Amino acid sequence: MLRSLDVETAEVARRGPLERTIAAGVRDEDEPAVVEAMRRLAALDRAAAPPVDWSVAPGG
Amino acid sequence: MAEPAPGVAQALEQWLCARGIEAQAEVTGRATVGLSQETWFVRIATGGGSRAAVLRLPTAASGPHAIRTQRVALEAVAGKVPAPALLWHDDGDDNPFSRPFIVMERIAGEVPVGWHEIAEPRRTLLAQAAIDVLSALHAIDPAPLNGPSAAKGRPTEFDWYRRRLERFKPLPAVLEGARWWLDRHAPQRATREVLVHGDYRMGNLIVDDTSIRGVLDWEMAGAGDPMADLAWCFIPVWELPGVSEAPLVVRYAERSGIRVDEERLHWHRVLAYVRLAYYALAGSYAFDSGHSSDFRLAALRLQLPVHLDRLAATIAGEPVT
Repeated sequence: MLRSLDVETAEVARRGPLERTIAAGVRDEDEPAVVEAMRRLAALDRAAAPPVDWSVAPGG
Repeated sequence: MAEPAPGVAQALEQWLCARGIEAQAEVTGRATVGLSQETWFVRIATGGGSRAAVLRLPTAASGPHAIRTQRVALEAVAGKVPAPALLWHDDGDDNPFSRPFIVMERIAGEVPVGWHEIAEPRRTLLAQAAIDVLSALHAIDPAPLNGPSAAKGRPTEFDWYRRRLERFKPLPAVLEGARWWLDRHAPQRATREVLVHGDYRMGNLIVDDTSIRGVLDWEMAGAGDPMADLAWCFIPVWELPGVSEAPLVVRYAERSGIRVDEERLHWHRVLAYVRLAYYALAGSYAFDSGHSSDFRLAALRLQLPVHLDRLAATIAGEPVT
């Protein structure tokens, strides 16, 4: 989804296993594993995204 | 700021005239902020003088109910919290605009985009003032906002976003995980529902040096869990707010008399980040699908990885950056 929005993301090789861990953790109700993988995946994708200056962002 | 406004002033004059009010209306500008409704600044001259006002019209994105909700909310909070006085309104579409509208007084002051824009010590003073206004707001009877549309859910409730996120599947894995986490930890429905604003944050507050002059944008108002507003008040839509939340939460509990359950507040913070992620997805989708040509909506996608990172950090109990 992020890629289809043209948002820069980490490479598939690094994020794929994390995505699978989240899906498996949800299926197995393993909350610590889900949260850990979410944390790592989100950090990866944020690091890959270009920083944006939102100082002139819309207020509404 | 000012731009051609074909028919706006004339339509307003015509509507007022039909109600026996002879007036000259002049469009003085159009708000460039706000992503879901048309907001026109107008000056209206009548025999009694001239006044600055704000005209709001729905868009296809907002739907007419957004205007009606604002009208009901502004009437409910009048005189109880600082908010623009409602001057005129029309709930129907049999009018020169062919859609509902409201005309409000224009309140003088500034609307900082976020808390981060305000230097200390003014930021803390305004944050305290915002909490005091929120406490007063949550004491108002929400019954007027429990109309027929309430049954369809509220934009401060998880169910509302759960349904809407379905159309963006496949979702980012982090967002899927967050939906699962919210389900697992969903609190009981609030025993005390209050009148929630739904988008109570800097960006929707008109301020002066140290006080809140007016609360704007009531289209998400309704009966709901007070923790939804409290969690949303300092959520970083753009930059981190730079306020110390803990003493403000204590202040809210003292002023409102509403007990703040930390787990419940935490859950609503997580929901708040899911909301931000949803808005980023919806804005991008609206632009990409041709439903909107607003580049600001397209730009929201750039904030999505930031929202998801803050979302995951919040669930993990880590500070957001």
